[in-house]
This record gives sequence, structure tokens and C-alpha cells, in this order.
Amino acid sequence: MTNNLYWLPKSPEFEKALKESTHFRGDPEKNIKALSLLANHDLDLVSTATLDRQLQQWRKDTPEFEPKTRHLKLALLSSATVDHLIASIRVGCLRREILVDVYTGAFNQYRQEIFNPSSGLYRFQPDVIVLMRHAQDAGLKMPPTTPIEMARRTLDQQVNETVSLWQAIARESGAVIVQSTIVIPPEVLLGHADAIWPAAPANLLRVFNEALKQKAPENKVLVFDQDWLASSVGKRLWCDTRWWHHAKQDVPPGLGPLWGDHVARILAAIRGNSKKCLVLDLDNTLWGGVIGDDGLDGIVLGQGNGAGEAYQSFQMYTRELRQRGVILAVCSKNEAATARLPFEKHPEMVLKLDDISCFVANWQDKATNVRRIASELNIGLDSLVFVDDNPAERELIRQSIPEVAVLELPEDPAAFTAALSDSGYFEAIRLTPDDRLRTEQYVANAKRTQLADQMTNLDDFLKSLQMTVEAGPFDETSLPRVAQLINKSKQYNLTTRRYTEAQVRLMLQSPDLLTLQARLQDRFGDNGLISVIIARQITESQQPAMVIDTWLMSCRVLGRQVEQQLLNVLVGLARARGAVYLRGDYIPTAKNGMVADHYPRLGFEPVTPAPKSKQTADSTSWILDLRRFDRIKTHIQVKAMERVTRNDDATS
Amino acid sequence: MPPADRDAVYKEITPIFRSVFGNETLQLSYQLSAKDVAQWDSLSYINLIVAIEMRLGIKFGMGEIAGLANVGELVDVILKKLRKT
Repeated sequence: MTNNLYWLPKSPEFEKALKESTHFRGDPEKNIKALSLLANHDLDLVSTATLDRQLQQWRKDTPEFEPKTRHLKLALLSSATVDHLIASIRVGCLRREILVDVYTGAFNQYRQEIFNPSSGLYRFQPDVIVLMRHAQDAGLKMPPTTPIEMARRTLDQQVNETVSLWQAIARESGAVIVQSTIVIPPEVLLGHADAIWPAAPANLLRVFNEALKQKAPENKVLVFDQDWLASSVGKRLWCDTRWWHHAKQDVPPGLGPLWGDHVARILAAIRGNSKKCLVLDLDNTLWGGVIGDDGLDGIVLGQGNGAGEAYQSFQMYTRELRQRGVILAVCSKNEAATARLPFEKHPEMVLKLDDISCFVANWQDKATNVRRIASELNIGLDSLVFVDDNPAERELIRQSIPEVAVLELPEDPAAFTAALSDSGYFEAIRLTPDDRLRTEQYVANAKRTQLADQMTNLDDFLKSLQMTVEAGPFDETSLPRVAQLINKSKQYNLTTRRYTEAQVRLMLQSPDLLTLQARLQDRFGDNGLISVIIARQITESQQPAMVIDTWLMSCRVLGRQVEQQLLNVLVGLARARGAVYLRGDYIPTAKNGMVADHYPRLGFEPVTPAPKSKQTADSTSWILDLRRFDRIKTHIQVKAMERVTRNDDATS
Repeated sequence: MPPADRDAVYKEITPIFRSVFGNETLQLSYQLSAKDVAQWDSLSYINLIVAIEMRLGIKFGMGEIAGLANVGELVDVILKKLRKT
């Protein structure tokens, strides 16, 4: 890592652009977007401070304009001075469209604050608390001749003290705790032999760091590995002690922007704002040369050539990213077959077609193709990182899709891996087993979409998916996911009625309620729980009937005939209860326009006039006569859901 | 920057002062010091020193950081350092 943000473009016109952003003063949303775009440049200390002043002005001007989702409160507790770093944290967060309030507390008073439940720290109600210690303050200063047993005892005490700080915080606050490792100064006493001398000062700090790292996960504490960051920048540069002596600053001011970006990337990862997908160009990015001109034998890749090895090692890094959960996509201006050739035929290719979840090679402009990749993978444009050696393509993406992160790729392929790693776009707070699974799911999704592209006939496509829907009443196991869907679904949701998990649990015991959950499997995998229906038994005009209270579905399975097949299931269940008709309501919201014709599409007739009891003036009511209903033909098999009987089912 | 005269140094560091203190019209003079500039505090002073170091490729010593009374003395130190390199 160098000491700046070199993976972001330079901003030669910074001052001018900053001035222009004030033109948006009357439009807070545009104004903050402009500032955020500016933050996405390689800013130095002074530009960062200047931008921060503008940001603070914006916040003063628009106190009410703050969607909660992008607001975050950070407490930074350190044994050193951190005031000079706050601007860098705020700008680092602005870069990720997070607005952060920073609390620092009094200098070196953090222990008192942590143990005092009514301290300013807790009154601030932080979302995240970062704990940092300077090497001088680790309580590990002892004569180098101290017997190792005694040194170990002191070490244990210090580690336990830190753990007790974590525990005290956990008692008083729900904040996420982030513990920084101590930056170990590079000075030695023996020289190389410090490495094998247990009581050497650097070794004590190293053991201390290791102990904290080990204890962090079991205490639900995240790690900010400042010692790693300092090492990768260079300890001599990092441990510029002038600022410590002058002002008790342990992070040199010049490194503030980089340091702040690292804090911000951890905060973004906590928020779940990290990137998910790496979009790769091919020619001169994954190999040297142009496959369309140079051919399979002409491109530079692999052993025997320095540049060729550099490209190969970049491929290895991207494959490792994939293995840990990052989705890979290709976006290339090429004939599709030509672009695939190296993946299929070149012996030195590390990446295989299987590694690429979405492969787009054509002559369209890259902005169109990047949008297509996001939609095929069904992920947001803001989860993409675009890597391309061509500055013009990078500029096109920056201008036309500002949500996409565009890596300022160095010219030298030997520097590609470092730039991608240093950028921190894929920062994750831990490796979860889901990461790999998620990649598989996205691959499956993309394969389904590709299949749809190939098939001209929708019927053939649906048939080829080999779908099975598994349907059954809610049960204890599915409750959390059912409740989540009920509270989250906005688009394919007929009535948008929200129920808490506790309310849903009560439904299990209501004999007049019919509950239905459905999972969908296809040849590409399990889509999970994708639809929820709740219907109530009533008697209307002396006829037994069922009113559909809730019908919602995940948009991932749109256009797959799931709703048709579930109607078949629902009708069967309603008939079994003696119902002669089904009634359903559509309550429009800002988001659910896509289901306005849900009921008519399924063969329901309009109820006129609409029952007076109904919610809003523009809601509609629909009815289906079960005596005249014929099963709708679909390409989905139905399977009854196996009741998972668990011990806690019996007691509830 | 070439071996410099006093005017060249003033010209070079004026924009740094203006950016650091957020004051577009700030004019530097030999006597100018912290008490004359509202935004000049201990924090922005360190930023100023670091920004000058980065811009001119020089490094101030501990004593120089703490002991400068006004802009003139700062320019003296800069000149001394630039002539050495």
C-alpha cells in the first residue's frame, strides 16, 4: 500500500469542482451526490479537510434531510489524539454515501467513559465503537530483562483488561465494537534476534495483538488491523514520531486520508455496503494483447514472460476473491466466441468459464453491458466494481453510472493485484459460510437468465427449468423467514399488511386461518422460501368463502408461473374447507403497481361495487367462483411440504 | 521547485495557506501569525506544515515545528532547506 488513495482518480480541478457543488445548494440531494462524487478521488490531507468543511456546511444547511439508512454514529476511543483524523473518517464515509457523526471523548479518558454507564459515550448512543491503543499505552513497557513469566503475567492482565472493556460496553450499549491492533514500532534492541527473544518489546506487543485477535470473535468484536495497515504502508513512514511528540498524534496527519478510508470501509462493511461483484475487462486486463487481433498464440499470458506472469497472477487473485464469495463477471468488447476462446483453449488461463457468473462480450457500449450484468445477476449497480485498462471506458462508466465503483487500474499489470486489494472495495467483516453459497445462487440466477436468452419460446424455457414448488402451512421453522418476507416485500405484495413474528406465530393456532408458504426449486438450485399466502375463512351471504388477507412473492421468481400454481394449491385447500368462492383485494401503494392485475390475470372477476369495509378508495376487490374453476396448467410440479417436527414444535 | 528565492516560496505556499485555512483571499506577509488568522489553530497548523512538506518535498524537524513564530520564520526555514537539497 502506498500512502495515498491511488486506486481512485486524481482530481486536478478539485477546488473548481468543489465550488461548482455549491450551485446545488438549493437541492440537498444533488448537492450531497456531488460531494460524494468528489470524495471518490485521490484526495490529500488538505483537500480532505476542505471537502469536509463543505460537508459540514451541507449538514448545517439541511438538518432534516437525513434518511436514517445512511446515518451512522461512531465513537472513536483512543489513548492518542484523533481530532486530526475526523475529517478523513467523514470524507471516507461520504465516499460510501454514509453520513457519520464522530464522538471522541476526552483525551485518554476512555476507560472511565466505558465503565461509567452515564458517560458522554453512552449518551451519544453510538452504532459503532472503535477502540485504539498506542504502543506506549499498552501497559507493556518493562525492562527488557524482565523474566518472561512476569512479562506473560502482565500481558495476560492487559489482555483481560481489554476484554473487560468489551464486556462493559456490551452491557451498556448495543454498539458494534471494533478493536484496533497496536501498531508495533519498528525499533529493535538486539536486531534480528528480537524475533527469538520472547521479552523483546516488539514481541510483547505482537503477543498482545495476537491475543486480542483470538478473543475478538468469541466476544463478537471486530478487528481493525492497524498494524497490518501500517506494515503495508511502511513502518518508517507510519511511525513518524514527530507528531506523537508534538501533539500526541499516533497516526501521522499525512496518512489521515488513507487511515480514514480504512475506518470507513469497515463501517461500510458493517452496514453491508461493500461491493459484491467484480466486472472484468479481458484484453490487456486479464491478458496482454488483443485476442481478436493477436489470436490464441499471440496474447501474453503465463510462464516465460514477465508481463504474462503478472497477468496470470492477477487472474489468480481474482479467482481467490471468487472463492471467498465475490462474484466475477466479464465485460468485453469482442465477438462472444473470440472472447471465450482463451477461457476454453489457452493452457495458461487460471480463470475458467465456470468462474464467471455473467459473461458479456459484444460490441455494445460498456455502460449498457454493465447495466445488463447487474440485471442478469439481479444485484444493484452499486455492488459492482469495474476493472478495465482503458481509461476511456473507465471514464464512460464513471460518467454514465456513478454508482459503479471504477478502479483506477495502474498501467503496469504487476500492480493490478495490489491496486484491487488496496482499494478495499470488497471489505468483509468476516468470512461467512453463506459467501460461497451466495456466489452459487447468483451463478444459478445468471444461468437461468442466459437460458431465457437462448430459448425463443417461453414455454420451452419454463419447462427446461424443471421446477418444483413445495407448499405447506407455516411452521415454527419457517416463521422467521415468513415474518421477514411479510415485513420486507414491497413490490409483489397485494395488500402490504405487515405482521410481527409474534403475530404470525399466533396465526398458527387460528383454525379459521389458512396459511401457505412455498419454496421453489429448479435445476439450478433452491430459491428458498419465495411466497406467502394468508387466507381467512368467512361466511358471506350464507355461503362459506375465503378472503385472501395476504399474498406476496419474491420478485426473484417473477414470470415463473409460481402464482398460477399456488392458486391451484390454494383452491384445493379452500375447497377442502367447503368454500365456494375466493375473494382477494388489491391495495395499491407506491411500490406494488406490478400486481394491479394479479387477480384478473388469474381469472378472478371484479366485485362491483367494492365492499365498503375496504381500505382505500382506489383498492379493488376480486372474486373467483370455485365451482367453475379449472386448474391452471403450469410447468411446475407440486410437492407437499414435509412437516419438520422439532422438539420446540411440540411445546409451542 | 528550483533553488528558490523568497518570492517564489511565498508564491508556492500561499495556495496551501488558503486551502488549509479555507480563506481564499489570505495574503501572506513576514509578520503574519496565528493571532491574525481565525482558522489558524494547533490542528490546522500541523496540516499546514504537513502539506508544505508534501508539496515541497522537505521535512521539518521537531524544533522547527514547535518554534516558528510567524510566516517569515517559516519561509526562512523553507529557504534554508531548499538550498541544501
